This record gives sequence, C-alpha cells and structure tokens, in this order.
Amino acid sequence: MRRSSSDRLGFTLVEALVAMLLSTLVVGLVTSVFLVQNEFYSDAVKKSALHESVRGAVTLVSSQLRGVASGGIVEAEADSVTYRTPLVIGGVCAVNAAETYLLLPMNGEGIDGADVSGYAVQDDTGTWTFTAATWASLYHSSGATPAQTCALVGADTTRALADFYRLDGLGASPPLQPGDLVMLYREMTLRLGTSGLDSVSTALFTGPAGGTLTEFASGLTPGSSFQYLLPHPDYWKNRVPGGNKDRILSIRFSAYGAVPSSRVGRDSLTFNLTATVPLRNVN
Amino acid sequence: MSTDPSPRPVAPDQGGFALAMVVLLLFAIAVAGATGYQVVSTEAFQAQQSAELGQALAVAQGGLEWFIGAQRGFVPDTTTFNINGGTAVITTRKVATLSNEEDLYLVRSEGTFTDRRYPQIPAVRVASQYVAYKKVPFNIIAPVVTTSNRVRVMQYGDVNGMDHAYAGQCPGAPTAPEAGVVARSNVQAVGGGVISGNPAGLTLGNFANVVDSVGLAWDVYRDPTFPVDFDGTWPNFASIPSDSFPVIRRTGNFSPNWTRSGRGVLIVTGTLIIPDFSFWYWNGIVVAGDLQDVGQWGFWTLEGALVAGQGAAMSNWDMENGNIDYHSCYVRWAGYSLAHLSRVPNSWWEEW
Repeated sequence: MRRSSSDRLGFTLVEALVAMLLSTLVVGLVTSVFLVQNEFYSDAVKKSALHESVRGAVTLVSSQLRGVASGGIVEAEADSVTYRTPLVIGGVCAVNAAETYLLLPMNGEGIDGADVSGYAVQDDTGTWTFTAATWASLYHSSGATPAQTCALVGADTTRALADFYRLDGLGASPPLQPGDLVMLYREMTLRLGTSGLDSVSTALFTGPAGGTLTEFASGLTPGSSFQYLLPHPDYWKNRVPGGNKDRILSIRFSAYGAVPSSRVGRDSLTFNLTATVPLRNVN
Repeated sequence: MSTDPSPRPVAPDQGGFALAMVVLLLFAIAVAGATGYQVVSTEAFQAQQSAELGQALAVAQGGLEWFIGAQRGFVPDTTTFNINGGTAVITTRKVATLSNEEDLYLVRSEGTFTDRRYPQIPAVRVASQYVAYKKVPFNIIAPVVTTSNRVRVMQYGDVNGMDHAYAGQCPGAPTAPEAGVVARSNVQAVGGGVISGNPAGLTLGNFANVVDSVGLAWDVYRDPTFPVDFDGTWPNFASIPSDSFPVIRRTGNFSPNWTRSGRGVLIVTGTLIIPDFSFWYWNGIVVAGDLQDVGQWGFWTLEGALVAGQGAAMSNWDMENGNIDYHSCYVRWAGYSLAHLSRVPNSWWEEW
C-alpha cells in the first residue's frame, strides 16, 4: 500500500540545500574563528618566547657582570664584552712561604677546576691584580689539614672543613699575609652575533673567553648592544679601548627583541629591555 | 491533496545538526580560550619568576647592608631579617684574627622571596662580602682626652695614666703607660692636683690633631639613628650580665649622681656636668660633647677614659676633684660594645 507524502521520512531538496548552506556557514565560521584564534595563540607563544629570551639575556648579563672588579674587563666593545668574574673570593688566614692557607667558601661543594681561569690578589687600595693560572697549578690540598692551620689563627672551621684550602705559588707583591683576599675568577665572553638558529636574527652568545661560545638567547635585533659608563667627563661609550677599561663603572645592556607576527599585515612583535649593571667591585 | 496545517513530525535521527555545530563552535572557542590562557599564564609565571629573582637578590643585598651597617658588639653566627616580603638569612664566619683590634669575617646573605601565588617555588639568591670586624673602634691614648685649650687638675683632682688593670685581667689589651691628659695647648697640675702618666700632659696643638689621635666616630655616636643599648633610658646593672658593658646615650646635658653609677660606654651629646657630692663612679668610657668645670666638692671616680669635645673645640677645663684612672680592660670591654663591621672594599660576589 502506498504511503501518503505526509508520512514519508527524509529531506526535500530545499531542506537539504538549506541544511548544506547553513552547515557551510557554520563550518566556515568555526574555521575562521579557529584560524584567528590560532594566529592569536601563535603570536602569544612567539611573544612569550621572545620575552623569555630577552629577559633571560638581560638576567644573564646582569648576574655575570655585577661582581666584576676594576681590572676585570678585558674587552669592551659594542657587541661583546670579555670579563673576569669572581668564582669565589677567599680570605687568607695563614701564609708559609709559597703556601697559602685560605677559606674559599663554596658551601663544601668544591671547586670545578675547569671554571678557574686564574686568580687575583687585592692590594691595600682594594684594587685587584689578575694573574692567569690553572687550578691544577694552584691547588695543593683541602679539608682538615688546611682548616687546622687556619683554626690556629682564629678561623671558625665549624662545619666548613671542606672550604679550607692550601694553594701554592700564589704570586703577589708584596707577599700575601693573613687578612688578604684572593679571588678565583673565570674569564668569560658575552657576544652578540648572528643566531645559529635563525640567520635573520641576532643572538647572545656566552662562554669561556677564547673558547666555544654557546647561543643563549635568540630573537634579538642588531640594535642590541653593550655600553660602558666611564667617570666624568666621558660618560657612556660604545666601546672602551686600552687602559680605560679599568675605569668602567657600569655596563648597560640593551636587548631589543623582534619576531614576525603570525597575523598577515601586522608589525613584528617586539620586546625591549635595558639593564644598567653597576660593577660592585670597582673603586 | 493534503491540507493538514499542523507541523510535520520530526524523526529522531533528523534533528540536532545545527546544535552539534554550535556545540563544536563553543568547544573550539573554549579550547582556543584555554590555550590562550595557558600561554598568558605561562608568560605571567615567567615574568613573575624573573621579578622574584630580582626581589630575592634585593632582599639578600638589603640584608647584607643592614647587617653590616647596624651590627654592634659581638658578631652573631646567624641573623634573620624580614625585608619587603622576603627573608634574608645572614651567616658569618671568622676567617682570621688580624690583630688585637681587628678580625676578618665573611658575611653571607641568602635572600629568599616567595610569591604567594607560587609558594612552592621560592626564588633564592646569595650575596657574600668580606668585612673587617673593628673590635675597638678608637684609640685611647690617655685617661683624659679633650680638645680643651687648657686643662688644669687642681686641689683634690687626680688623673692617672698608669694602667689600673691587674696583670692578666684581659690578655691582649693595650698596655700602659699612657699619657695623663691630652689637650690642645696646655696641661697643668696645680694647687695639689695630680697628673700621672708618660708624659703627664700631652698637647697636640690643635683641635684636628686631638680628634685624629682618638679616631672616634663622634658624629655617628651622637646621631639619634645610631643604635645604642639604652637611649635616654638607664640600665638596671643588677639585672644585666656582669661582663656586659652597655652603650648608653644621653641626649643633651647630663648631670649624674651616684644612682647613675655603672659601667659601659656613656655618650653625652651635650655637656657632662659633675655636681657637688655626686659620688658618681663609672667603669668604662665616657664620651661627652663638652665638660663643665668640676668643683672642689665634685666627688666622682672614673676607671677607664674620658673623651670630650670631639665635635667642637672646648675652651678651658678645670677639675678640682675626682679620680680618673686609666684602665685598659674597661676601655677594651667598653670598646667591644662599639665594635662594628667595616666592609673590605671590592670583595662582594654573588653565588650563581
């Protein structure tokens, strides 16, 4: 028996066309929203990475340069700085000819000889004199015996035996005496150069001076630079040659970061940060 | 031909297509929103961490400065300061005894700053600094050091520069003999007054020379912000340890009677006035801005040293009664109470 048309299930052509039209519109809308959201998301991720990179670069530069002493700047250029930063500063408690007994406060963690580029000795005016040396050439012993020697002159060795050392051959004129300070330093370089990850951007490289530098932060622009503050009347300089390096009071690092936006026709995403780092150990 | 106006019934498998699309749309928006929030919160976290590290270093440095600047007397092993929402734990370690007057110390400050939103990840930075511990921050060269033009010890007055500490009372203290009285131009013992010392009277010519000979930070001690044990109040000497020599400051003029007897460092920013029949005695150091003449009934005794007129040159001073005896141990112990830390230049570094 034939069913009436009102009982039939299914779509009419018009219904199908309207449904297709509506679904196309909805899918298009969803896709559009998704794409826009995706661009926003992509930009947000890029911006976050850029912020992290720039902030990391500034933090690294600040922490590395803060403790530099006068005489500790080896090279001062607009795109690089080579410096001697204190690994640890030790207090001399006893001296016996070429033997120097001192506290090197490393919380018992010991000294990684590979980090040591040399030592510096402070004179009465607070000025440091730097001498390149290897840790192997300086180290004699550490622990109970040097601690015992220091305890004889009043050093508090409680729970710090491992931080007392005997170093040999520390040259100084006049000779070292109890109360003098000895710095173990590492010579490092910070350099701005073309990123190995992205050839159109600049990156901050860091590592031991004269050694292989590691890319630390990318996404910077060539406008990033170091500047150096000298006493009046010189003020800020882009580079400091010769003996004037010993007069540097502060170093300013300007990190300019930029990455292309994911959104068509938009300006690049930028983030700039500048830090002025006073050198705390400069007279 | 059907003319039924009622809506056509919808089969169960026919409805909900548009609804599904709306749900999908809402889901897409929710996912995008969640990921956006994730990115933003990550960025906020990174920025916060960076700021926290800066705060932690500021706390460490603040603690270091505070400790070095404010510490008086013996150096404690550990001190904790709460600074601007962070905590600085200061630890000290003696490196060497350099002399009877000076030790070398290492001061380490560990600054911790915790953001309340991320309490499980506190930021920590450590700064260290070498300091000289100045145990006796002045040089007493006589029991009476004044910037007076002329000092006269008269009648019953007696000033003795010979050390009254007995042998072994305080090993390592500076030993006598000392000069008796230091003044700018003239020292006299007249009319029965006695000055003992080597030399009895020492004249240094001008105000600056007298001040320099002592090396006492008068401007600091008289400053109201300089921390002392008792400022305008008076200790109950019966209730404090017998070996403590407190620092007491009296702002303005001070006229002690026997109830004000005791020991320590007495700083009088104005004029020290010894009244008649005061029977005041003091063991330690008295530092006064100026001195009023002591009359013949001004019974008093000082064992230690009297330093006066460090801020401005005094005119003349007469002492007709009283005993001032140099005592190296009391001077030394009083000096310990003013012991302070002085940073060794260019000896700061940060652990990282």
